[in-house]
Amino acid sequence: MLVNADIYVKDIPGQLVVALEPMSMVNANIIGVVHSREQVISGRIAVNITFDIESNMIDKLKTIWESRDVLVAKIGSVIKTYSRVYMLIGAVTAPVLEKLLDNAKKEIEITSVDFRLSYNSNGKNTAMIQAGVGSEDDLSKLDVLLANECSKNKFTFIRGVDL
Amino acid sequence: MKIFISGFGTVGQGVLELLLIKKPYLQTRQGELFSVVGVVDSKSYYVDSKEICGLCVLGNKASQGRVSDNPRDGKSCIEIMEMVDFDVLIETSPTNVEDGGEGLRNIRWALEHGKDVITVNKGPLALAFSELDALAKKNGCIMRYEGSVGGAMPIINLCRESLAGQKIKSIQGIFNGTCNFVLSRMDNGLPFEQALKEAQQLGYAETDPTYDIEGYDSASKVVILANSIFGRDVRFSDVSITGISSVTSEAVNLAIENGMVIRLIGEVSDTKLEVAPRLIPKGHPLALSGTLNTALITTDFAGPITVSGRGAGRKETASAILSDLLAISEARRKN
Repeated sequence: MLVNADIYVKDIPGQLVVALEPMSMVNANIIGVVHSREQVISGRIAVNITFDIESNMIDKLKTIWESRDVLVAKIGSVIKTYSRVYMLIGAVTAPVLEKLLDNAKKEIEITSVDFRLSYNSNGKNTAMIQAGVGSEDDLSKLDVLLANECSKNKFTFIRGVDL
Repeated sequence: MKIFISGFGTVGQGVLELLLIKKPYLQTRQGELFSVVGVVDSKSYYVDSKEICGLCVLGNKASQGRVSDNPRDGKSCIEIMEMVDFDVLIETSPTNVEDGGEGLRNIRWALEHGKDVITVNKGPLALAFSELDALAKKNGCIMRYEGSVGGAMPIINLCRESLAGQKIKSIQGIFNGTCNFVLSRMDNGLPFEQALKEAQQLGYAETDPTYDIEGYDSASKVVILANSIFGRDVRFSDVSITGISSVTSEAVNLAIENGMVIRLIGEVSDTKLEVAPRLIPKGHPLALSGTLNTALITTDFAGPITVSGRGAGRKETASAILSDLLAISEARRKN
């Protein structure tokens, strides 16, 4: 699972290595480290780490950190999101778009959505939607749902490619 | 090896030209003589059991618009093929996606009579691939069709031979140069109608551009890829098709403002069979401009592989036919 943790290490040389070294002991894979030198609290520096780890190894990691005097302020799983850009061309208006997205939200857990609408005097408007969901399965469902809605409303449906 | 060419338009003429130009090379490389013994176009035919005069046929076509003074007089291509003995049929007659037309009848007859077949005619392959494939196997014939998808861009033989052992997960590609040219010009601010007119003036689009613009040409190619590479049994009518005629300048501009372009993409996998405009981030291998074709092949172990090339043209398509001809020659020699 993907995990994000806020930890505090002593503001003395070598302490970042002390905090990161246990990752190999629990077979974790470091994805990102942000070392905030300007954020010093009680002589300790904040470090934000994102890593991939088996869930049953998290307690072991916390124990090792405690033994090395690394303070764990926050630890939790990170939800990976899948996003896609869509474009709808036709008599699409803001109310129509909002209704369409509301209907989509009833069936799929959409974690983020943003849209832009460009109006045209000939009635062929263009909407660009950027949507994020929690799984590939939901992304496929969203593809199908939007394609069906566009077919019903006679909109041209354009979806982004998988990246 | 004796060759019969059915259909003598741009591609058919290109094949004969290439065979004449490459004759010494082919003899050296293969140690075999490639002789064209028959040519048919819509109006006339020319057959010679030893070898036709290639230069005469090309000259007649250029000066009179027909291959010879022998009119077909209602003769079918099959009746003309029956006049000479040959080993390989090169089928380049015009594409007909409604019933396959004469091309389908020619291929069927050739395979039934033990002839190997090379075709760039998408109609028969899009409509009756499984039947023709089974017929070829039943009669011990080889049927090859590299030039039917992407012209000079190698894709079918690449997937079947060079990537043998790989699981091809999907193929996404730009399979129609006309649509890509129109969309590329729209990126530069031209409205659809004007971009299409420019394509027609430059000879990239037909007077009736429906077949290209509405995605039917790309759909034929997607069917060929699905059947030949993914082992599916699908037909033209199974493809979900959306063309580019409804793509507006506003949509293209909105895409560009967001770092993307719109391209007509054909997509095929074990479950997908689609031709539709898609949003492509700039810098992506499919964000290609101009008339080139390109394909992004996703494999299980080799990762993504991109190929591109000229999707149409006399010499380009003829070169794909030549590679198929050499493959057949080599396979026959091994046998």
